[in-house]
Amino acid sequence: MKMKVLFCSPRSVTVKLADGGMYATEKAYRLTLNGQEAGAADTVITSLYGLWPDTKYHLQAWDGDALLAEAEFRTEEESFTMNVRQFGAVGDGVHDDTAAIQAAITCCPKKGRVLIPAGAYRVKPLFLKSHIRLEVQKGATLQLERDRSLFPILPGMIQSTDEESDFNLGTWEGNPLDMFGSLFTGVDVKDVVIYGQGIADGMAPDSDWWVTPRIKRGAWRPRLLYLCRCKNVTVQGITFRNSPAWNLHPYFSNELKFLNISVQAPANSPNTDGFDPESCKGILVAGAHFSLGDDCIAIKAGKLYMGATYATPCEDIEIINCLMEDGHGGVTVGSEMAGGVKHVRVKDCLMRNTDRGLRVKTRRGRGKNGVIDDIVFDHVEMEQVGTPFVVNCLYYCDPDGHTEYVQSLEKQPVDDRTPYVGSVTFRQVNATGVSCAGYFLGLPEQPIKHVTMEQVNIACAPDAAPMQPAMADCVPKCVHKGIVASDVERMTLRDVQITGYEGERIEARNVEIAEE
Amino acid sequence: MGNEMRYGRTRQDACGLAGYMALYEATKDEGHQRMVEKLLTNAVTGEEMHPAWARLLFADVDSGQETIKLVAQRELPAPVRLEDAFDTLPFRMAYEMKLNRMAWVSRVAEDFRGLHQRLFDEKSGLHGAAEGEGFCAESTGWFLMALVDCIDICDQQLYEHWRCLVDIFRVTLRGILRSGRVEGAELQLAYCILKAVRMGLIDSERYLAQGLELAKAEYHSQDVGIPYMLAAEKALMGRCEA
Repeated sequence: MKMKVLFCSPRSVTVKLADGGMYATEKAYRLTLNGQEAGAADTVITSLYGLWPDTKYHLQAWDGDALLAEAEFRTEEESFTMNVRQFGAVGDGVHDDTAAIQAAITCCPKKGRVLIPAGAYRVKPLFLKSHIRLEVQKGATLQLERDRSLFPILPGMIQSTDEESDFNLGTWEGNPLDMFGSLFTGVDVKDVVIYGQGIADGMAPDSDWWVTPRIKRGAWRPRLLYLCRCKNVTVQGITFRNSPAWNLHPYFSNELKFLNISVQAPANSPNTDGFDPESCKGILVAGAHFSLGDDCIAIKAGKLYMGATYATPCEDIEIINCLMEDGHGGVTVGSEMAGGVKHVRVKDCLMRNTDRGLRVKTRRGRGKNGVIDDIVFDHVEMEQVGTPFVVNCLYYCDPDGHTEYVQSLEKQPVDDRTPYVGSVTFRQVNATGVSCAGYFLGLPEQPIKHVTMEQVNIACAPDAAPMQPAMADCVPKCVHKGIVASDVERMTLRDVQITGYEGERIEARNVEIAEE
Repeated sequence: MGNEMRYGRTRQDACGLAGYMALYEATKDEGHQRMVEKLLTNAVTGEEMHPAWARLLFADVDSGQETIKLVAQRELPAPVRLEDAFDTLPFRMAYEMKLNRMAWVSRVAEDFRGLHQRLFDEKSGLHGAAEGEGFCAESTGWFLMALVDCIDICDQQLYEHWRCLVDIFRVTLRGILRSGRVEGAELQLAYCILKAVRMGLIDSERYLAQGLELAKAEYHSQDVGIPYMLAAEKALMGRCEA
């Protein structure tokens, strides 16, 4: 077994224990740190907390008395600690602790730590600052204020004084629109770590955020973490739950890491996507656990205006050793992808009880900069996933989603509004408990370029429930279906096994299939 | 007077009704409500109804739905002059938003874009200066009113279309104000500025004082109705002179 250090802060570390497991390790291992017992590890991506700054550590993993793997690392330096209690935070779940915690953040010097010790802290949106580490300790819960009238608003677009340009702050579903500040809001910050075993709770069930969720009331709903034009930000270990809307939303941000986070929301909660990077570059998501009411991970790049104006793709995304449960999709690309989504790797992940596994969604009107390409899913297990693979270019989203323009099966002109789907690869994927094996819907005027499936095993469940595998007007509910594909330029299948289906193994229209 | 002579109501009548409706919404004054009811009860059929008037029926789309659909089925020509925009485009925008599932909001945006591209002169910053048609402040005023009302009706989530209208509005307003050639369009411009400031489309620090100054201009006969719309905007801004 190999051990690799993925990340190190002054007070914590994240390592990868490569024993062949996907999310959980094959077995639990005993850990020692500088010869002292340091608990057990049962996940491939494992984090340790409570370390000391600027200290050399020797971490070892044992199976009984057998040493299996080890690694050495040195924690980073830390300048000062701002304990929010010293700034007046009460932590009783009643007192408004926003001012105290915000003061601690604002006053924190470079390389300093803002410490939130155990307690329940009622807060309005908190604004991050560069070059700080923010620790939410075990037993600490940040509880987001329930009354939206007390929230600051981030305007969508602010015109410059000379009226020549715009300053974008807020965003909602791919458009630059007014939104409420999020529990953690970062604007143009860099070199930030938010870590610990504490909880960030959006308190949405106790508020009205989920009541008439698609109606703008004051502004659009806040997230739990919103990073706008940020760089080098790591989030480690925190549990995010009950978000008013999307949970984690980095936006036009780069060099981000999300390690060992847990994201939770009730299965029937509206738009509670787990992790939605939008027009970002260079992201690692490792060892994350998602269980919520919408897509677990949705990789985005805005709608037409943002895609055409800023043309910023979401790219170089690596998702490894994660567990996705109960959402609409395990890993989704789109539907807002007008800036393009490229170079995505999903590896060694486990999906359980999600409606769909690996999902690409787009539609006419996303624009010619909306290029989806080089998306690779490698070694993914799916248990009780309705439809493992979906690529849908007729997705009926947005107010005009059901119009003739979006849903037509006839060739439309290829113009500035037409998106493009290039290469999508599925390799070493096992899916059980399936309802429909796969659905690939291209545009007749701009077919999906190339779908590759290698060493893929799909087993339809005898008791599977009918479902609509792709959300398009032309797709009915179905069950025990093989692969359905239309308007795909080339589909390459190597060692693809499908069992338990009825009718045709592959229903294809306007598809060139090469099978080996 | 163009196409409106065919109809039982004119563009100016629509402004009067719109003004009273907006005043009632802003002030809840029963007098304004009575005027609205009085104006609405005058029997006008769908064939006769001017689209600028028909747009106001969307305030109670359920009761006016049949009439709205009759108007929508008529061949409403794409506007060829700036002032024609107010006659038809706010109606079409409201129809798309409330009864047609937003299917062709893009076409409304295209009509505005078409007028702008054809008639706007980059050098002077004025519409109508291109193609030798000659600038007309009043026509530009109607065009701006059509724009700001359509921006108000359009769902901001259709951002590319909404933003197209906003950009045309901003450059048109800037152009006419910088030129100083506002005579004959003062009240229209005042309405547009106050509404745009209220909606956050333009900077209040830069434009509001000028808008309030324009609102003091002498009333012209062709402005029938516009003073009521302007009064409603003032009421919404808390400067009620209604």
